[in-house]
Amino acid sequence: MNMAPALQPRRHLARGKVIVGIIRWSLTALICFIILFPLWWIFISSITPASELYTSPIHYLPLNPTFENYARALSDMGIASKVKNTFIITGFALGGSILFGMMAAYAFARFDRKGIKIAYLALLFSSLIPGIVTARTTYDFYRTLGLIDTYPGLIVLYTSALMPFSVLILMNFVQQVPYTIEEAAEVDGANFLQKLFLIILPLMTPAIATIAIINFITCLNDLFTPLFFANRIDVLSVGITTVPRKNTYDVPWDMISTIGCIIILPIIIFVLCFEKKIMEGIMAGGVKQ
Amino acid sequence: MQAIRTAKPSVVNNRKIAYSGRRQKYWIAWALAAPALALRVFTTLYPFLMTFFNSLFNLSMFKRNTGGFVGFKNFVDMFSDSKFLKSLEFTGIFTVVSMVFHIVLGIALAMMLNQKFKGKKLLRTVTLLPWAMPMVVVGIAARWAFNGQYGLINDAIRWIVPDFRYDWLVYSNTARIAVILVDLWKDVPFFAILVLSGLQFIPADIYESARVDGAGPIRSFFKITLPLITRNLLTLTIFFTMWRLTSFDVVYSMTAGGPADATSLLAYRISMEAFSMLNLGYASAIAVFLFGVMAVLSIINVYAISRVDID
Repeated sequence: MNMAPALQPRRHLARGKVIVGIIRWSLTALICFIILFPLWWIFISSITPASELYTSPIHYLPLNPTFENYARALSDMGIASKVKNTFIITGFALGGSILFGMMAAYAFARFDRKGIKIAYLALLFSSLIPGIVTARTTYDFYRTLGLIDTYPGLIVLYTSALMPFSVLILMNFVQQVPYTIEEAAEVDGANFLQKLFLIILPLMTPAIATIAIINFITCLNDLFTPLFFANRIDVLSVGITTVPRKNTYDVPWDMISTIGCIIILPIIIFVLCFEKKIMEGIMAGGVKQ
Repeated sequence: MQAIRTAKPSVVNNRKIAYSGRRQKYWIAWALAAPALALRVFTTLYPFLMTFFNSLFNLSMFKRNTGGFVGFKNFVDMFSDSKFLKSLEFTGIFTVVSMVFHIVLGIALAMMLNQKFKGKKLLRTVTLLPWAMPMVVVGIAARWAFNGQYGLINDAIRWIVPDFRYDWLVYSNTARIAVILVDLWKDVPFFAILVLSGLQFIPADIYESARVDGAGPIRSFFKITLPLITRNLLTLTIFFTMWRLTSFDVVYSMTAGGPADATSLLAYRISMEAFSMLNLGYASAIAVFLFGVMAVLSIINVYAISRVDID
């Protein structure tokens, strides 16, 4: 008689826990399904022979998997040169955004004068000006300078787009590096550039890694810049829209899903490897916004 | 990293030393910031000012007396242009509907991500994926996914409703719904991650003491969670609203503005006027209008945030 009331609530709690667990896991399953299923569908489409692709219902486990589409993408679609262009532009843009971003971040973090503060705010607010508002005038300006469809022209645009976010994150990190470290370096006779690149930069490696990862994804995803400012220099994001088609409603899904996979598979692997770093970066930016 | 971590408590102190010291000459600051600032000036600020300037001129490659100053004529013309009005209408619908679902689903997903259970890491990684996917790939896949015959969406519906066939992108209303659904798939998870960063700052013992006081989960959500993340939410809302207002990739790759301009968002309209029809002055006017809308909304939002701060 004494034991019963004590046991009752505990059993009740245990059952509650099971129910909460079931709800949690079914919601998790639902979310994963909604997000992963379309991606899986793109992947299986790319390894399904074209003849089977245009049938209904869809075989979510392909009957005759083939890499024929990938071979065709390499030979007919010029994927190799698109990949090359994407990496040239992305590589320089990453380097530029980190180098110039680091320099600017140091200036904004270590100097406290009105002028430089205003410059910092102006830099951040410039990211609120949407690309579409400036696209045509930038195009005309670029044409005057002969920068349309050139690597330097594209790299400048990519780098510039990465700048506000990079400076924002890097500045937070510079502020956390104690100034006494710099003083100690000065006592040891380090000049300004040595201080910046030999003392501060190594301490910033985690921050730089975060920025590089996020900026890399941003660059790969950029459609806007190459669409309007390049013709011959073809990158992956534009490449997927230029797959030959018969009319506006025709979708050459075999080829599109294959190029889609060539673009998204590396990104998925990338996200799986660097999930923690990406989260950190996004949240650091998010909190500051 | 170790150095950074141990230094945290004295950050304020260190900054003071740096600021007050006349050790570093001020010009160095400008020299260091110059490349970053120059990039932004040349690719954003200067073109931005030129857009304002151009909006006051008749710069149409196919019309007569191009280059003439027309004052605000371009702006007046906008409101008798049915294509523009249609774009404006859909941009409004798209932004409002998408944002409502962003906030509701985003908070729900963020609460899920904040749960302490074994699936947490899996869920977070999966949630990150749509954000990392290029919108152009998502959009172009969605064009096929919403295909009546072979698309993924109809195929999935057929699991429940046999023989269901519907060409979503051929009809205005369903094309609009489809565009919004794709936008939600791509961005709600990202929104949720950013909400999560706000949720993590809420100490667990607040919930514990609320529970002791007899507050149920629903009550503690509205009385504790929501008020504590309001500021964070308002800030996120402004950024996500801006991104909705200037969305381009989704309709470019998915519907090309169709059917019959039903899904041509303002950004898409501007690009058509500027790069296809070559009405540069008119395109600039729409761009200036769009920027004006964004500026007004930002000011309202900043005001709302300052009200929250006072409370």
